Amino acid sequence: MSLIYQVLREQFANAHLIWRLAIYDMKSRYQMHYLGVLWQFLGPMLQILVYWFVIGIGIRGGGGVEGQPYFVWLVVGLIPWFFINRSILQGSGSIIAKVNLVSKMNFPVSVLPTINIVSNTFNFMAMFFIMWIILIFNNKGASIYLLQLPYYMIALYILLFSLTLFGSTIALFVRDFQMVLPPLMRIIFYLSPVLWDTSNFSEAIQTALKLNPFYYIVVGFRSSILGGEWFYQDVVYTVYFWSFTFFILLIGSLIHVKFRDKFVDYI
Amino acid sequence: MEPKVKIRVKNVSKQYKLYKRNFEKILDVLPFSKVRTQNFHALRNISFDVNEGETIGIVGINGSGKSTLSNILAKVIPVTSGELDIRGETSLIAISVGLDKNLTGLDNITQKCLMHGLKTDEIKALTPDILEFAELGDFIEQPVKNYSSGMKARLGFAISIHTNPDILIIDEALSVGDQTFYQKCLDKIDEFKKSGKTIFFVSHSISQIRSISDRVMWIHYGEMQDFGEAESVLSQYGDFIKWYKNLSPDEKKEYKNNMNIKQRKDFQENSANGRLGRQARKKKNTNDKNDKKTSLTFQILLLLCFMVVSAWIMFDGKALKVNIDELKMNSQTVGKVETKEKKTVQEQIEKEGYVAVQTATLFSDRNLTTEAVKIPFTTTVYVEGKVDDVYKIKYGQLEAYTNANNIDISQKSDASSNIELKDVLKVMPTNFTNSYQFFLAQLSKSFTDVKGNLRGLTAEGNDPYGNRTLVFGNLNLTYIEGQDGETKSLIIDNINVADPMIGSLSNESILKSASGELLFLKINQYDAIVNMKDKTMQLTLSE
Repeated sequence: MSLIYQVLREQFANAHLIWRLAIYDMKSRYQMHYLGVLWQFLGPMLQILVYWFVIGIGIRGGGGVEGQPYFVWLVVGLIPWFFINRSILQGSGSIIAKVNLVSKMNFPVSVLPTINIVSNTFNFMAMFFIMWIILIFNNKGASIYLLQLPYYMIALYILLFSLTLFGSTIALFVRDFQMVLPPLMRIIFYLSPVLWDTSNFSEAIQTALKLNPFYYIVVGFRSSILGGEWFYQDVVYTVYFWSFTFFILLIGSLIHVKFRDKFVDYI
Repeated sequence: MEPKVKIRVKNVSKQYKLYKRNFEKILDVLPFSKVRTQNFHALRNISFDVNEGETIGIVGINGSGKSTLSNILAKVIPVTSGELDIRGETSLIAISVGLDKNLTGLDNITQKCLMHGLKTDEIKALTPDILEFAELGDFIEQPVKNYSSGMKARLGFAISIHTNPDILIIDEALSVGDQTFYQKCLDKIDEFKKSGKTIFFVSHSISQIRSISDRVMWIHYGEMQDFGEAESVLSQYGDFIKWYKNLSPDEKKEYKNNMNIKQRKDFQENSANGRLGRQARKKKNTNDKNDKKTSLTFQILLLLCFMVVSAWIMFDGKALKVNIDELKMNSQTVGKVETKEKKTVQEQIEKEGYVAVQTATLFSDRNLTTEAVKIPFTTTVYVEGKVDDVYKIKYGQLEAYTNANNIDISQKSDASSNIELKDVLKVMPTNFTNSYQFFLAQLSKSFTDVKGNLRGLTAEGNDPYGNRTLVFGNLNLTYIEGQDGETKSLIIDNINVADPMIGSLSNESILKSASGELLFLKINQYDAIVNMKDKTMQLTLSE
């Protein structure tokens, strides 16, 4: 636990640094493009439309899911996924990308993945806002289940922090990790109930799919926003999710702290 | 006045582990690993104090540990052992200062300053100074990858020196600049010195060191050879360089090898006392370390355990329940144990059926407690499935449950009967047969008209399905209103069920209730339902 505490303390001690670098990171990323920040939304919007057209209209024939129009159901799952996907991919490459910059200065390397998560949060919040507009147009009011949205947000951030801390460190000395990650994320994407609803499968297959922690997050976001069940109703799954998250966090902190003074040697 | 100590370094050592293979590095992290590695002592037992406002030159040949020392002073790398007390912010300037080569010079300034913890408005104020110092001209808008090495060094130096550190460490950064830039740096360093800041200056150039330093430190293969007045240390170092230069290449190689072997060796203390002390300390250290490792292993295993157990319950919790169910079923089939709990039998049906009793009650729940609607004999429903002896059916849009006995799912026979209305008349009461055409003509007329057309209305009411009725008791007639205000059907009371005609009606019927008391058949354009128990016949115009 002391390792986790040490890493977390670094995050809070450098909160201002993280904040400023995240803003700079967001501003500079789209600087070179004519449409600038607009790309943050155009890309995802196009993707949503394509998924809705191909899967919602084409494959499902316009039918609803779990009593919701497919479009609404899709958007509520896909918008957190965009955030997850970007944060994991960029966060895991964050130390490799910056190690030359930070190797000759006294810089807390463990904040690099966090900077990526925070800078992607701006986009996430904007997409969340768009999602609410879509919900309002579809006459989906807020329900009492919205109260658990903060819980799932916190769960999402802790999971992302753990995975990116782990991934960014692993990526330094196992270079293959960077090659494996994009296809791996794609597989996880299709195995999560983001595009389609898994309830047609047998219990055993559904349970196997549930071992993916993003399943917990996506389903949790849906039940917070569209109504469903409370997070404590599936105690076993909640225990599984948190033990998975803290396991990754502990391993990530361990290898990060052990290796950070040698990062330069691995370049 | 006693000068203020800015940096105190006590017995500082730095060891690097020399791994033979790449995966040993990873293995070494694991708490239970036993990878034996060779240590390389980059620095060994270095101690010194440096005061405020001093400029220290650091000399030494390649690989002697100068850069390791400057990295330690800049807190870039941690020490292996020893104490380090640095009062103030440090800034390290090296040749490769760490610029992002895809960003422009300007962006690099912003990013680097942000990383040093400066605020945005502070950076805005600093940028013109940095630009002026770096003398990059138009190149400032170009990506750094297009810069010459001198430009990079100037930019790096300019950024680092403007982040306003208390302690500046310059690691051979000035060797790339031209004479004018070098002079500019010296001026800046002088400025720093005057404002009471501490500077470390690492260089190979004896003349550079001599012109800047107050004191000089000579690092030789990880150990401090000398530390003192610039002139005396530099002359000794100069002598050594001269001697070293005169060695033949082979001798140089041998000298280097000997030194490196020495660096690989672990400590040999001179005094027995010291060794004991060190051993005791080492023992304590390893004990602490072992404790930490054990607790870490424990934590990892605990979380792993939680994960596996919860995953197992997710999978097998259900399997467990199924097993118990199977056990129960087995005990039932053996028949020795009578359990009150009956095993539920589920069956898919997906067929059309019709109500085979006078009135079927539909329920909205499986336990048949909440009544939904009542439907009459012959009503067509869609049977989806069967649970125990309850049918799950669809009636229009309504999903409902009803007793399986209420519904017949055997196919309806479509044969129309040969019986004519005239033949049936003889089972009817006489007051009906007298003017049956008039009474039948009332069907399809509006309900209110019927009420006016006939005399002798004895009662108005509702039938069990909620339709309005007009009862003409003396005529043995009851009219029933349909959906749209029209008169839908006519019920004739007191029919003669003893007549043999009833037998042929029964033979010709399309549907029969389970009890055989209800018959459904077609007579001319009418749908007829004969109820032998109530002695009634209901006539409805066929659709």
